Amino acid sequence: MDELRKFVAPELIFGPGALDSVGSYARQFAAEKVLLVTDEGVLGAGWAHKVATSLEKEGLTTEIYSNVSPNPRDHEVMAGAETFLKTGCDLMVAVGGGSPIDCAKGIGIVSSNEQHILEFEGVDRVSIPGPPLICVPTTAGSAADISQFSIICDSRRRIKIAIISKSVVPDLSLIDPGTTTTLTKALTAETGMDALVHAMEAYVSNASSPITDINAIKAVSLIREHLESALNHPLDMAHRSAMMLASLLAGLAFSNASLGLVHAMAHSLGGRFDLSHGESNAILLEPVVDFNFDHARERYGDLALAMGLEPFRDPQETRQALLETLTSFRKRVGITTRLSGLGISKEELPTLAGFAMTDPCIVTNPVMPTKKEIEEIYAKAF
Amino acid sequence: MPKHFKDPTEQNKLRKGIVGLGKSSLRKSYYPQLQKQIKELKLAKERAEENEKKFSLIFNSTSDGIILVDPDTGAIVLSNVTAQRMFGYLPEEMNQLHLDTLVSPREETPVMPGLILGNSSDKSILRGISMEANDKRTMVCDINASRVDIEGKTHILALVRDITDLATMEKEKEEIKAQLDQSRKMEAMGTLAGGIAHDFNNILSGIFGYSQLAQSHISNPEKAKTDIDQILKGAKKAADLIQQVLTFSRKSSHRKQVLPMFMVVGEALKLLRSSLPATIKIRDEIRSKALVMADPTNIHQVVINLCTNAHHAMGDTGGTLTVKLMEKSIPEQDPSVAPLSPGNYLELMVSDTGHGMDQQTLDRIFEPYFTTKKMGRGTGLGLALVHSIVEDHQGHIVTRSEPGKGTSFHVFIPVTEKAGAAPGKNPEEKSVSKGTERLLIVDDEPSLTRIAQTFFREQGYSVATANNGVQALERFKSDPHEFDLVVTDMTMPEMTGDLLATALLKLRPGLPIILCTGYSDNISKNRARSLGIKRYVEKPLQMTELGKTVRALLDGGES
Ligand SMILES: [Fe+2]
Repeated sequence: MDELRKFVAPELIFGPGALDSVGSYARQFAAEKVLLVTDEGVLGAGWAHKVATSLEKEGLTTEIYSNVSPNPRDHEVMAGAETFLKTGCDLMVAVGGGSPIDCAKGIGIVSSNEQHILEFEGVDRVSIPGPPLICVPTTAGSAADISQFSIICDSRRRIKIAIISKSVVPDLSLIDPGTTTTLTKALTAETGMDALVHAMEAYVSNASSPITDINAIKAVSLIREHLESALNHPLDMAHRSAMMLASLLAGLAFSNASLGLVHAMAHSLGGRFDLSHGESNAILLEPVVDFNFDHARERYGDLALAMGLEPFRDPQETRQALLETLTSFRKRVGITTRLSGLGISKEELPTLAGFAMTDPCIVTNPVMPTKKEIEEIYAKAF
Repeated sequence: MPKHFKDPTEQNKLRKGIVGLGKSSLRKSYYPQLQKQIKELKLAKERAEENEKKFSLIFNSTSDGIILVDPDTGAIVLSNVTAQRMFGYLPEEMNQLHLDTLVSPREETPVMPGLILGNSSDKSILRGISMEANDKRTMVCDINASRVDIEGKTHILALVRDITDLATMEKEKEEIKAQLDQSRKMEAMGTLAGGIAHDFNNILSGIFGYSQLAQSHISNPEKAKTDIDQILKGAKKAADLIQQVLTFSRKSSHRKQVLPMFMVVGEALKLLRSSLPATIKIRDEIRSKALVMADPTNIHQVVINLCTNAHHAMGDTGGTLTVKLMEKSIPEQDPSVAPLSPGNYLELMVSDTGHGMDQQTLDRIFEPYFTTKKMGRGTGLGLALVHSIVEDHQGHIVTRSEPGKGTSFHVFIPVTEKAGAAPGKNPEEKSVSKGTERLLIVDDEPSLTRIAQTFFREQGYSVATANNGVQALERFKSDPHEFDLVVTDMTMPEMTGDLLATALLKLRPGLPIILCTGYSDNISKNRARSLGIKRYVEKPLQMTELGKTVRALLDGGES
């Protein structure tokens, strides 16, 4: 504890039915017109309309912006900001997974600073906060409704940029586990695996702290206990709630301790090939743990316990057991694809490794890998 | 906390940013205040832009060119569209120029030093500066400069007004006026010449006539003498006329001196009393003895001419002639005496109860030979001469007249503050006029005898005075050797100066006598000589001159 640490988090409302209070909360912000940022999937599931109804019940008018891809693009953010300013909105409500929420964060800072979204790349680059943002997450994984991160695709360079600033931490997160009941099996698995990687990377992060640790460890055990059940019993609210809580705790951890090499490599992949973020994470987790293990043996030991393993005396036995457990867990939740199966050629690896080297997530990895090492890790995921 | 991080620089910096306190960022709770501030800033910016627009519109639509100049270098810092058009430069060209490049090389006034203002004044004006445009076209401009502080530095704001057209118009106007003046002068000259010719013709006709009569009467000496007297009278008239013409043409009087004007007026009145008909009652009010700077002969002429004019206005039926002399203080800008500057004046008023004049006549009475009189009655130069003399004395005449009621002339001559060159105060003069002899001074004007008495006593003489000829003669009879010299006035009631002199010389032949004659006294030098009068001086008297004459005469000098 040799440095000053901050811990940022939005105001949280957690529990079934949290979504229904969106209208009254929005009214408390003295807002009149709301930009509702969402995507087609969430619109289809009906959650966005439910939110809009709640808002309109409180006398607010809504403008829906749903032109958001799974990996939100810079131009989608700029168009959203234009809509926000043109229609005279004074509040934003983001409904959905990581994509609409990250997009809404971007729209907010663009409209208040009147700058291009790419100008905010990096840490602490936002001078004027955006308008108030209320999040209604509909996945249990991204925790974008909690974090001070916004990940946006630079469509020209084909990479994902990270905007890290407490200005993008939402004002309020209405976490309603009920919204996850409509998730597909694949999405439940992928977002669940994203949450697991969040927790594990935050725990081994060289910027971890006691406050983030406690959240990370708890998240790992909750995911181990409930992800499979949530997949098998999608309407069982106990499992859905546990997964939603796990996502929240992992989010609190990684938002304040940051992430590591898995995310750096996944962002590189996602930027170039528009892949599912959770799936990429799941595929890369095991080789990265293998690479990192010796640089954070104790930490990985704790994580192994959280994954339900017995303690071993020999760290190498722990490594072996942890890797086997992660592999079988991944397979059990139904993620069996390899990078080769996603249509990626090995010739791309140097480029991907190069971009991973520049991702901000890499700096909190327990060890700084060389570019060659990153290429080797990618190779293991083939 | 695990720290396996190897590369400390870039990565460490980034890590510190991520986990750090994020002090450069603000939480969203600041949004409303910031939005408000941003809105206000935007509004202020819009307002400033609007003001700027307004200012620039005004700045560029003035009729004067506006140029902002650095007083240290003379460089043009800013200029408006009017100035740029006036001088034919593009804005960016204009702002690289030096003010001096806009001034015509032929202009002699140094413009920059003229505009750099002293501490005492914030404004300066340069008029009629010749300036030059880009195409070498020259203009005449007035430059109004004022000092302005902009961004903590003093600048000169020059307003340049092109007055080329105005100056041309002014010049043309002046030329027309000069032409008009010239033709008016020519007209006046014509009138003058005509008038003089007319007068001379009259005189000459008389001379011719009487000469022919004298020829035919040559055998009858009595008759011939009467004719010759008339011829002489005519010649004298001609001489007077010439004198008047000369006075009129030779305006600058070379004999201006500190003059007690009341004495000259008194002298003139005395003469008038004896020459005006009895039907004219003369009232005089001499209320001031103030001194003026004037030529005594000229002032005498003024009084005589004005009074003669009054006489003619009243005609032989008569009336009252009033002559007043009083002091008048002219306050700041008195429109009734417009051209006079404020100060103290001596006002000579001559009024009559005659036929008066209408405005049309009044406007022209000072023109030479403009006369309403019958030809031959006056010379026609009288009032013109008065006007010319008064002007020459920095004075002014106001005329008031009403047909049927009479006319009054008010002559204003500035009072001189200088006390009269006190007689004998000059050491040089003292030495030439000092003496211990006994003098008798005779004049019917007591103030004059008093002045002379004081003056000669100061010179060391013993002085007695008499105020008429009879009284003087009585005194002289009692002891003809009481006095070494007698000074007597010519025009006196009861006994005139020449008669007194004759009587005195009978009692004591060879007595040095000085006769003082007025301007129009009808006695010539030769006649005085023939009477045995040694010297004769013209009035008004100048004491130093008189002193010198007395001394010279006593010392046995002859003239
Ligand atoms: Fe993630």
